[in-house]
Amino acid sequence: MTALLFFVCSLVAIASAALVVSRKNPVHSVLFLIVCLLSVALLFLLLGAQFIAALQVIVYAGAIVVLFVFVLMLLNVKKETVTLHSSTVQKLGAVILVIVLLMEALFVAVMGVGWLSKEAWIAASGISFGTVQSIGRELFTRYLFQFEVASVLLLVAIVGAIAITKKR
Amino acid sequence: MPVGVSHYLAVSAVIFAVGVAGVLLRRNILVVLMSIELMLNAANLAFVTFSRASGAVGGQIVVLFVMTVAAAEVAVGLAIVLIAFRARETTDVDEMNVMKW
Repeated sequence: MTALLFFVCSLVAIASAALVVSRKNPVHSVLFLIVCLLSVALLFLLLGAQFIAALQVIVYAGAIVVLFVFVLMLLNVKKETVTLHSSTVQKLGAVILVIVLLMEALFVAVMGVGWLSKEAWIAASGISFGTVQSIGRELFTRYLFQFEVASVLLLVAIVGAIAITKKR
Repeated sequence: MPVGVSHYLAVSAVIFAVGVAGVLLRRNILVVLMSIELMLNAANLAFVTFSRASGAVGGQIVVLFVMTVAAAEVAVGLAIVLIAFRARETTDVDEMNVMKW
């Protein structure tokens, strides 16, 4: 059952990721981005990370995607006629680079960990660190300074975004 | 068939590669920003996988910070897209080739 869920979620995630980069209309890209983010949230749930899955839905599929849609509507961009770069060398180079990167990453993922390793994979019910309680405890004790820095970063981003877009 | 660490890492690698392809190939800056989100998301998946495999909560906390950075990046990035569109009437990255206008 878990394996079936994993395969369905990962297939949907990969297919919708491919559709995000291949659709001509950016609005369609945003909609497929939502599908991709939600299926990755399901993968997080399968990994036992309930709090991260909820955050994924709220922060990514909620706030960030809404920001994208908002800017798309604001810009009112006409449908692109040419979506890819015009230079053939650039396109060819990009495709080769992506294939090499994919091979490298898959090699590390498969060889480095062992494709069918049956060792030390605790059942989802056996772990307790995905809950809000355990993450919150760590966040406000060991990672307190980093947490404060993250809040300052968000403040800087808000002020920066307002300062950039302000009409002079 | 048991699903293990490498299955999740392989999914993460494929999504990351798709994101890189989007950044390198597409000309619309909004789609480029979405591809960057895809890459950050793939990295998040790898972090949660390793957190699960090692039994430590640290990986999930890093994911929290990655989400913070992603939100900040999107806010500033879309602000830059807005003023670039105001000045140039385009979202094409090939047209945005000057630092000042």
